[in-house]
Amino acid sequence: MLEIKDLKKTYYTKFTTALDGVSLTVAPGEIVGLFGENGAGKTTFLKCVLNLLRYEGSITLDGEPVTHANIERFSFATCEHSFFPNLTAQSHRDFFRMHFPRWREKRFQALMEFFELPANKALRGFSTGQKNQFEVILALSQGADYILMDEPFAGNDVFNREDFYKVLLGILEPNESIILSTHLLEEVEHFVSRAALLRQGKLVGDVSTLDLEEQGKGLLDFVKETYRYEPDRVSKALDRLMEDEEERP
Amino acid sequence: MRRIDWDALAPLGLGGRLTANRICIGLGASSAFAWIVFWTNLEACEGALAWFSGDRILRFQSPTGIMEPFYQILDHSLLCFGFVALCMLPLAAWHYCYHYQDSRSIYLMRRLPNRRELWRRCLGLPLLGVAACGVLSAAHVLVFYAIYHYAASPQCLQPGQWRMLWESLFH
Repeated sequence: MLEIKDLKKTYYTKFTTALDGVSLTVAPGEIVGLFGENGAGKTTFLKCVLNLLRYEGSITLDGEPVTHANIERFSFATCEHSFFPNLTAQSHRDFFRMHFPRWREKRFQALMEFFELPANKALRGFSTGQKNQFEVILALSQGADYILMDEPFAGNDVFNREDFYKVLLGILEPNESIILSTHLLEEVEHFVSRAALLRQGKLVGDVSTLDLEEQGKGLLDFVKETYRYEPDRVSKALDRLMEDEEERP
Repeated sequence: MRRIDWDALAPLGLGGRLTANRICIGLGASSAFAWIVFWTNLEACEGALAWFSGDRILRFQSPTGIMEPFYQILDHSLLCFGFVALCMLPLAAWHYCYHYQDSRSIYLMRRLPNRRELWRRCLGLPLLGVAACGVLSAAHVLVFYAIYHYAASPQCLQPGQWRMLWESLFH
């Protein structure tokens, strides 16, 4: 069980509070969608969980703080890419095998074949879509219990993304959890089992998709509602603009 | 004997062997510079004269009766070793910054179960380079001193050579 309690993160150099008292619990097997506008704190949240940033509050995995002793239970796929562009897929596999004892070789080979990625070509020669695919393949093959993904499909076409969601649902084992940060709400609606909504560093919504279904709501409705989205915001702004134009001599 | 895996001492994909070769070239050039400076200084000693007779070098004779102290002959011959050692600082910084180039492989390195892996790959070669500079400098001093001692007639040598060398380092 991953427990995050009262997580706070302040960037002193930017004088901003990225996370302000976020508490969240993720049980084994859950697929949590982490949503929010740009700058809401999604990426910061994931980096804090991985101990890549200093934070206040507590993050524990089965009661133990996240350290080098249990960090292998987390994997990370990010749109910034965490692989080595000069290395081939095969070299990455060797490196991961050496460092992560629970490396899933069969899963790696199967996913490489499925996405038809070249094994002996340096990653810098891959297309953006292929790079994203490989980043996610590494995260899925590491043998982690908690797979953290930060906008992993940014730059992939819609068919590609859909393939990935299907593959993910097909290969995930019951104890594997995913925390997926994305803007593609409608696409992941049927993939996630729970939605957590961040706004200005605060957790403003946390709901299971089952509850939403029972309420007859979609994920997008939930997000709009929680964000108090005004549908007529754009038309009002345009009207104001037109009035200003007309008043001008 | 176990061979050193140079690639394991540099960031992944950077080629540790190539960097190690470049450091070796720097060390070789430093050694050549040291020999040139030392030999030039030794030959420039006032009234010094050396010639070979068969396979034996005849000793320097100083008409004043006193040979220049060793530290003056050593002069700045080891300067290049210091320069190469200093170059290891930007090399270490470059190795670290490499993990931010074209991707954020630093995220992977920082979440490895083996917490030393990142530092081994950033600092391994630079530290070896600094150590090699230190060892080679010391070896050169010893070899040069042996040559100096052998080359000069005993009655021409001033006492307290090491003390003078030590003092010259700090003054």
